[in-house]
Amino acid sequence: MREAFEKLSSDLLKNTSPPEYWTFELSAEETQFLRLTEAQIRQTGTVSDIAGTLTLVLDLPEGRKTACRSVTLSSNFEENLAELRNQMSELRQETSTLPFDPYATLPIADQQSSIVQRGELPRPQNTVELLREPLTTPTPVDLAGSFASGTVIRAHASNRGTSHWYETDSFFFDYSLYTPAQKAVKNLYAGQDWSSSDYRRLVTADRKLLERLEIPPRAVPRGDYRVYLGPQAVHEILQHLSYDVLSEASIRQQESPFRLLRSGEKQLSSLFNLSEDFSIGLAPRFNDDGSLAPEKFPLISAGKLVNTLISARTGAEYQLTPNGADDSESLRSPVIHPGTQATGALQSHEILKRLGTGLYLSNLHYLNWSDSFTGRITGMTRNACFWVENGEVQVPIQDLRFDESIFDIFGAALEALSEESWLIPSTSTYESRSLGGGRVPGMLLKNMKFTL
Amino acid sequence: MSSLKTLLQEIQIPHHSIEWLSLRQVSETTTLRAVRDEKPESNSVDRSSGIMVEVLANGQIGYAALPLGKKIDRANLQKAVERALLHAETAGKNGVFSFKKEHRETWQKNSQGTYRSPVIHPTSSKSPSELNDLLVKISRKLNVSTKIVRTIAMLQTVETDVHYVSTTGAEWTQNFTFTSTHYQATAQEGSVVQQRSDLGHFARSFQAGLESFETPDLWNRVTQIGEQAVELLSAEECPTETASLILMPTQMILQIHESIGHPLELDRIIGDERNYAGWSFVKKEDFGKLQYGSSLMNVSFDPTIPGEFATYQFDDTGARAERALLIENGILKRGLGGKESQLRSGVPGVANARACSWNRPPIDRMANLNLEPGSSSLEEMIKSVERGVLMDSNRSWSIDDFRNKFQFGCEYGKLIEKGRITKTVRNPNYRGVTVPFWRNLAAVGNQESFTVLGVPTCGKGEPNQLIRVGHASPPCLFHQIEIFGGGQ
Repeated sequence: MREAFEKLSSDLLKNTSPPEYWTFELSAEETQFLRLTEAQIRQTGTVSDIAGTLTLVLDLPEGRKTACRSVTLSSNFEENLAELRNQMSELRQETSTLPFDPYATLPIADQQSSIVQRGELPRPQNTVELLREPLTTPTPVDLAGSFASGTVIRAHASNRGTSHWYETDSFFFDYSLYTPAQKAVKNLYAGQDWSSSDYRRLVTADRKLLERLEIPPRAVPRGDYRVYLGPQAVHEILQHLSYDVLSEASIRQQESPFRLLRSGEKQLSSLFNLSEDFSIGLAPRFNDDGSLAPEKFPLISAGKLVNTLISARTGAEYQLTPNGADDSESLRSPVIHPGTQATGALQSHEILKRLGTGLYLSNLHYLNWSDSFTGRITGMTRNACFWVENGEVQVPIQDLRFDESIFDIFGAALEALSEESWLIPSTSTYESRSLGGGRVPGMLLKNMKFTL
Repeated sequence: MSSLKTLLQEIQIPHHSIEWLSLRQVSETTTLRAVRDEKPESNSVDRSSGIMVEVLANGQIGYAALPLGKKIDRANLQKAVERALLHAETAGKNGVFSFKKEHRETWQKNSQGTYRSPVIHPTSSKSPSELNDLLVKISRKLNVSTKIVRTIAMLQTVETDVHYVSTTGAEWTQNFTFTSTHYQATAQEGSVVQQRSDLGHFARSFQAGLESFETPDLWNRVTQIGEQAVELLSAEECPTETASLILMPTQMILQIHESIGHPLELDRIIGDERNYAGWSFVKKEDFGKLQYGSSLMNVSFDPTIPGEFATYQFDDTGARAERALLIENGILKRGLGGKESQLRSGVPGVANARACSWNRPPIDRMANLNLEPGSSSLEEMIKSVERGVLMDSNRSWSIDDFRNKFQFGCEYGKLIEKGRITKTVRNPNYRGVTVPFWRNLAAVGNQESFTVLGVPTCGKGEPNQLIRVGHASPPCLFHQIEIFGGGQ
């Protein structure tokens, strides 16, 4: 595939020159998907997909114009080359007729990167057996889940000498185990090298936790409670902050609630630290214009907004230096820093004790803004969530709705972060398998509002 | 005979374990043009094409999706068939249900024909520069005041051609044209920021050509969006109390989608979706019995309304689509489940097993899901309210994984006092629990107020799929609802 991409990009770009600036991007995957319910197979198959995207920036004396085209490619090199040349011709024609775009930028020049992550993935013909093995012994357990495994490729080339290649073999099994009364424990087994013993260990631990859900749940009245948010729950909130919050354009254009952080009207806790950190190895550092983001990049340090995500386009509009963010200025590889001893970090063994009396929440569900301009979010508790009293788990709870400000969750209400943090790769498969993910600790909150 | 049918016949069946085979070829061109603050932000065209192979063997469906260039490579198609067979055979005795060829023979008996979206002005009838000029003009007209800090104008057109053939005689083509628009103005005064859009995010989504873009009321609508964004800056917060609630069609579409559509999906009811989007509070035994809402509530699955976003003739398992009432006089009658879910659950359903593209298998989806009109005018509803709020244009939605406890928010509200609209309120939100909420349905708008809209990005499934959904509704009145405002 790499050879074909390099030859395609070379053939496509070799006769191009200013004022035409071209980028050619490739997105490809070969994925086995399995969907399970009742610990059996519901849907099973393979998806091969490969798409090429051409972007043209016309750099004319009067200004710049830009447009892009994506097209599905096949395994036939000559056919792909002909189709992409056809797309280039159409793009030239269309772009010349478009209005000038004052914020269009040229692709970055002379940057290269190459990452190939090889893994030991299960063979497709063995997957059903591997996934089902710990579900049938010692006793059958009800499971619903989604398995994806295969190779994902992202590549980038331009006629300004930039070329990037990112190829990763990876799998994930995103699953939930259920009691007969349909209370669930949710977990994720993901990585690059499949290990049946690691997978079995996770399922065994989940089965044990599932036993705690077999007693009838308690309806907790609406109100304010102390809360421990487990890593998956924290990751849900973090994902919600990934779009239009740390984006410089969103702050400037009054979309982001963090405009209140910048103006000083709202504050965050000094315990809260957030970075983009590509060293966790889940996403390529290059973005859509070919720029490489810094490997580690602080966004919030001790509660202060020290950086935002600035794309080349935003940089051009507001005369700022871009920092490798892509056009959407979304988080690609975020890390919430765990607690430290100096800041009273939570040790794993003392989570319940320090929670005292309150709610232990493993998962949250369906988050949305209830007022995006002031930073208020709402969502539901889900799966293994418990009422804890005097440091002891009492009963699972019936699901509750929360409605709370992010300036409280990561601000005045934040009491401690766990010392341990967990890597959570993305399991999103809208249109194609996503890359990225994050690393997060658990969080102890003094207070969280529950409204229904 | 079509070329796809010829290809189907030329496939070498590796051995006799393949009981049934289908090919679904999809070619889709999506064009997005966007302008912000009178400057172009996006001019992108995406052409996606491929073929989905599904085989039935050992009672299981295995699939393989193959990307396509200009031509179908026979050797690659043959390999895809073999891969799909491998998956079906490997699932073997561990499948959750054993499907049979006879099932498909039955429902694909009438699976022949063609469908084409009703289009007056094709999406190619205006050049890219003409479309950009119009969007720039809309962006300019949204800017009615110095308090407007951002304007957005977006147009998305999609041309989708689907061709389906199977070894049980199905052979059809469907040619869809989708046009969606979104205009938005953001206003700011001090730390107060408010937004208003054209009926909600991309709610103006239709099966139509550019006639749904350049409508006679376009410029009045655009001006009103800007003016109402500014109006909201000085409006009072929506009060916090239990009161009557009138939802305009622009919010009803979301209320229908989240609290009727998703809970009635049979794959949720039987548990396929529970690891991702969730379950449903509805149980198989509720069909024919459950009083879902008041007797004014009639809900239809209607794939026949010309121009509605999810009108079609066949679903992606080759079942012919027909109108059906799901809820009649408040009683739950029928689920939103395709033939496979109907077989597994024993619950009556509809033809709604749909795939978002060539690279995903079909699952139970909403299509056109509508609340049938009643007999009240909007004026009569307002007059009947002692105290309440009218809410317009969705901006926030969240509901639990069993589809019970919801919280929804709108862009624009009007306070109603003693049968009259008295003032505008901002950040209107409400919350409730699905069945009690629908049982509080007190009036349903008449045919004149029945409005057809769409939702272009309904997410569900593992692997994930975004699909287009149509919703139509009149305004509706509910009593005894918890309403509240925003801010902190």
